[in-house]
Amino acid sequence: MTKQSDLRTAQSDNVLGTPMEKSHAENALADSDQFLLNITNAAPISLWISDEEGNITYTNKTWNEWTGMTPEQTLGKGWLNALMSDDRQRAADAFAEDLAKRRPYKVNFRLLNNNSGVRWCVATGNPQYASDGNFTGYIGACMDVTEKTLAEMQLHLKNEELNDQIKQFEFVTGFMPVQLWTATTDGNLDYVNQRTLDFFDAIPENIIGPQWILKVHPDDRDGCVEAWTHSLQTGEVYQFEFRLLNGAGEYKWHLARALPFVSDGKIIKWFGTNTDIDEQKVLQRQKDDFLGIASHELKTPVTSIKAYAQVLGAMLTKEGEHKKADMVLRMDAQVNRLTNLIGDLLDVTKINSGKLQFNRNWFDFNRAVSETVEDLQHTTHRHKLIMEFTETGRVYSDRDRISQVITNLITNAIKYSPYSDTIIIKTQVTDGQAIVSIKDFGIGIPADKIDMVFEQFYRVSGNKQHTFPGLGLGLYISSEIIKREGGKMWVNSVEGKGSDFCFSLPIYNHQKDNL
Amino acid sequence: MSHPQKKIMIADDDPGIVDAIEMLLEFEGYQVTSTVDGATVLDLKDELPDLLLLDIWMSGEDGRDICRKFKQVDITKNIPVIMISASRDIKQSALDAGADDFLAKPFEMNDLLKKIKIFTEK
Repeated sequence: MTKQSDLRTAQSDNVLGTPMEKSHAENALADSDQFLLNITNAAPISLWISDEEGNITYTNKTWNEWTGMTPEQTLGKGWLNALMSDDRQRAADAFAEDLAKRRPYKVNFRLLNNNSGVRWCVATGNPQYASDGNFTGYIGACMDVTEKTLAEMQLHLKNEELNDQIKQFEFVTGFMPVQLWTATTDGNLDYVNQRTLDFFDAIPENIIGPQWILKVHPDDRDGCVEAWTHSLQTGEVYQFEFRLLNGAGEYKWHLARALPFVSDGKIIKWFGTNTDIDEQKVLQRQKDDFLGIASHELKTPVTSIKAYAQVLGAMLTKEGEHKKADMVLRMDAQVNRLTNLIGDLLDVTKINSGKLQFNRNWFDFNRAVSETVEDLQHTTHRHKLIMEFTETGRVYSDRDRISQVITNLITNAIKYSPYSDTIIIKTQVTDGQAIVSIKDFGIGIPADKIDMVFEQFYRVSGNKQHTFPGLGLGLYISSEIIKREGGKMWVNSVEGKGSDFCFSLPIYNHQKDNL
Repeated sequence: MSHPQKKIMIADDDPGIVDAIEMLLEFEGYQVTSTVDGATVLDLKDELPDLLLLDIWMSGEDGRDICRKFKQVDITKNIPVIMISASRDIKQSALDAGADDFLAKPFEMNDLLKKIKIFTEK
């Protein structure tokens, strides 16, 4: 092996004088060489020296340990044999090129480790010059970057996987027939799918962020912001129907829904969709309009029939035809049933279109209940309607609508208890709420159906329940009326034992301040 | 017949209603005139009715506008008006237009007779 001290030996020859001095100096130099050797061998990186031809003249112990080579094996071009064959030529060529141009050398390669697989390295070297300016070779280092490289490779792989997943996500969201979006926890959009962009005919910059709200119909904005803010604050599911302005300048009804994505117990993102419900809305409006107009139109001939029946009844009575007159009366009662059905259809269309109106006044609650109960007592001979009232005072509400609700509940109680003879109507005041309870001892409601009885068109099905007549609108209308009057409706029921329908009504309605 | 002298006028664009109510009121002893063209009630000069039964929706006319004008004309402003509509939600707007009372279709004939009696016997 060429001595690493050659450079300095050559430099020293010119400055040292007597043999004594020379010997002393040589000893000191030998010590210094050994010291330097110890340092380089102790370094956690490989060190190397080459001559001006690019032949390695020295490698430290670290290199030899990494490669399993003897110091002699690494000399000259021998070091290249430690490199993996794929990297060998590249590293050699790079060194030759840098050497030719006398410029700093940097190359990465993999070493075939003698015992632990592949070692990733970065070798660097700087050209060296003697004091006379002559190029003398390179001094360089070689660092083990295996850990860093593997980490980078891992990261790269993960990134590729992630990119792949993002591409798949975009592919899936791209052809989904809904607008799909994600939002940050402050409510701003940070992603929308292609369908969203197509709908708005916009570039992402015009939708992403807070400006999406500008695409919502001005009349729907306040409600939308309120619902969205509520969900952002509470983490509850977001759901809202609004009109969105498409690229052609038309507003289309959409149903927006979003769920929070929770990680480590914290909401980190919202995933949402806007589903086009415009056609559905148009059809629903047409249906409501039709039902509204149809039931409205039906009322006029019904009024005429009632007038004719009244005259006919009176004429027959006058002529002493009491039996025939009685038949006309019964006919009138059936017309009233028809009237109620028409009324229900009309009410449902009003509820659905938000047009149910209330004429509120102060009235004596118990008196209103008892008058309704007395009217209904005339319609049933089988059932005894028992009133158990406690003082309720006056409430501020729509008396006709409340009577309609009570009528519906008692009519149901009569209808669904054909084999019992008692219905108990109770009133009381609890926590500022007037509460009515109507208890029958009829067929009751199966436990798993109780929650559905207030739904539109729902009719309880069971052994016998479906044999009872009705449109399935009464309880829906009643509960909606009570809801809009600020109250609540609920039912306790045991199948085969009977049902207890109750509703509460705030005594002081929200409009009390105007009085 | 208990009210031989009382004259009731019916303004409704539905011939079925006009015919049926006319028959009922005549049976009850009222003298009845009718029109299916609501605007004609504003041209009344003589033979004034004691009470006007006025439908709210008449083809091309809003009964409330007619009522408002009817109540502004000197010779008719004191004639009681009962407005009729299939929608009970517009009761308030009928009263606001100057109607003395309101009935939602389909109404009980006895309710109609009661109201007519109250207003014509004042």
